[in-house]
Amino acid sequence: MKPKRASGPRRDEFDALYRQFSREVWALAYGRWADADLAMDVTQEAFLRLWRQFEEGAEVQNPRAWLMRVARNLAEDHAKSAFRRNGTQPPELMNGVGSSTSQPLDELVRDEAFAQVRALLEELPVADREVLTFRYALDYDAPAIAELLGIHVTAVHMRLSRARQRLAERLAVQGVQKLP
Amino acid sequence: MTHGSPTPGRTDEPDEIDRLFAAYFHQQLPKSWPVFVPVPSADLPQSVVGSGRSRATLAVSVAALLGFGLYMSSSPRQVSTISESQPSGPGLLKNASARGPDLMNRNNNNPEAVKQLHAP
Repeated sequence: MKPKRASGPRRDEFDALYRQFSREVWALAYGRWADADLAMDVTQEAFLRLWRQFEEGAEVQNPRAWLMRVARNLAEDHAKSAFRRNGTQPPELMNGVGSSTSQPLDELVRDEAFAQVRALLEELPVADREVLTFRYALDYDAPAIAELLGIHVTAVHMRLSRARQRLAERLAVQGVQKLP
Repeated sequence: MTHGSPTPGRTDEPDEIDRLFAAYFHQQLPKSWPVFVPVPSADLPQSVVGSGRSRATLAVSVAALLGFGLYMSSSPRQVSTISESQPSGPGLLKNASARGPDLMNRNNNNPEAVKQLHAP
């Protein structure tokens, strides 16, 4: 049987899925790597693979779960290949290096605080980063995160509370307790 | 492109550290969300030109390697004689070889040779 081309209604369906879930896929990938650009690459690749499924006429029963699984696998694959390339050096090693362009003092102070958040975020377990990203980047509450990750709401509450406390304590040691 | 993702409500009041985290993560979110433009796989350009070029490069490389090998095998060799290649100098015996009967055993079996060895 000749596979049907993804066009018309299927294209509309795909666009709707992209609008609905692309930020969640991004957040999942960001939670894995704490790298916004890499997370976007993973998002695009995950949706490209979904598009191919559509092109082949394959039925994806639960596109959201499918995308999450693919994004997770892509992030893991990247972790393995990055380890081969860089050893234990994280790819975001240069993220905190400042540019030579002049910035207002307030922005510099804020960027410095954000750099500290990022550095400490990288020390947290991936599971902690995941819930923090969904909570603060997408403003999701615990039930929404639980549904997305397929875990119990209580587990999300515990993980979120622990991750938030860890990060806040480490930031306090460095003198960061609020948004500058 | 921005898109209206679902924003489930938050239950607790954010404090200072929550504001810091929210500001950080919102800053990390891409400012402009890219539009996804899928390219149908049937419309993808075939990389015939690229693969043909690489195959031609490989063929030329193999041919050059074979030609060099043939040239080297057909050119007259400079065969060095044993005397030329043998090391020489004080302390080395000319035309000596490690091969042959065990000289030490032969001397041990010869009482005259042993006597000469132990003579003062």
